[in-house]
Amino acid sequence: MSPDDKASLVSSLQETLNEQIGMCGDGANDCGALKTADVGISLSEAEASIAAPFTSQVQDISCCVTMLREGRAALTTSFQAFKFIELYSFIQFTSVIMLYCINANLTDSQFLYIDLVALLPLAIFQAWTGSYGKLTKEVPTATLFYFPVLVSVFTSTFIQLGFQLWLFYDIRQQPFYKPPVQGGDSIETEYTDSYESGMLLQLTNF
Amino acid sequence: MTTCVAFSISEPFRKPLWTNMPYLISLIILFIFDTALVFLPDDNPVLNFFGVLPDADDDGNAYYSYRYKVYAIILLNCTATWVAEKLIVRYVTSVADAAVQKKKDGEFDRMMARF
Repeated sequence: MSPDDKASLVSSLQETLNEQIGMCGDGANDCGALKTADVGISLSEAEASIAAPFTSQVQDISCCVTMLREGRAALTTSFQAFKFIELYSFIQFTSVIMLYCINANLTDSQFLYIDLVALLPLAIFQAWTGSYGKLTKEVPTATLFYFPVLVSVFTSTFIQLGFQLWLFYDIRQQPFYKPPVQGGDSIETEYTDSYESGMLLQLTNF
Repeated sequence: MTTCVAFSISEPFRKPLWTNMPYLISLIILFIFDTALVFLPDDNPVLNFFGVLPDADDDGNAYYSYRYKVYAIILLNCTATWVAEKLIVRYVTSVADAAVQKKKDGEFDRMMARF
């Protein structure tokens, strides 16, 4: 096989199968094919490695398995991180909207705690989970606007909203409840502490 | 917090959650701290800092038992989120995956028929 044949084999596979094609090879005659492929793994540190996005230190095709495992784990991780941030925004959005309705808001310290102490470590550390030990035949979700992904986010949003509303109205029935103090007619009203915000803080913390 | 545990996708692509030590530790610390925040007594610097108001009426009658109800609601919320994510979403995913797979198989068969 000439170098051109390898490259045209890869591109014809891409056209007919309509899938992502990987190519793994050593030596300079693989350059064209490595470049054409969606995922190219070079097995040498010399010439061919420039054309391929990945270079393997191990001189056999076992690197393909590692590649797939790490790639799938990375894809799953970014999906999970995306869903987490999305849902967190929805949760805070609904609770702040509810508080605005009674002319209250989360206080600065509450915002600070939620964003900095509760959210930041979780958002960072959740991406540290390693890849699974072996390659399986399941394929992870590849598109963000895939129906189950949206169902998952919206189901959780509505469950959160339901519980927030429950607590929001329940606190107002309590004998110790006092409505938040309204600070004048100005639009730039100072928001005061309120029972609602305290309760929602405790709920959304979890 | 529950949402990120529920959204945590491990098998068959990633190692289980408990192999990720920093993540597990921050989850446990947050859980303990948030639980403490619910049950801390009134007039406490932590609660004052967070602007959580005392649960006593003007006559000084405390309604501490209300906090158990709040905590129960919170735990119920966690359970509901987790169950929904694991059951409903898993079901929807399997149905959607099957549909996608069927479409792919159809395309493959058509392509093979061409040759």
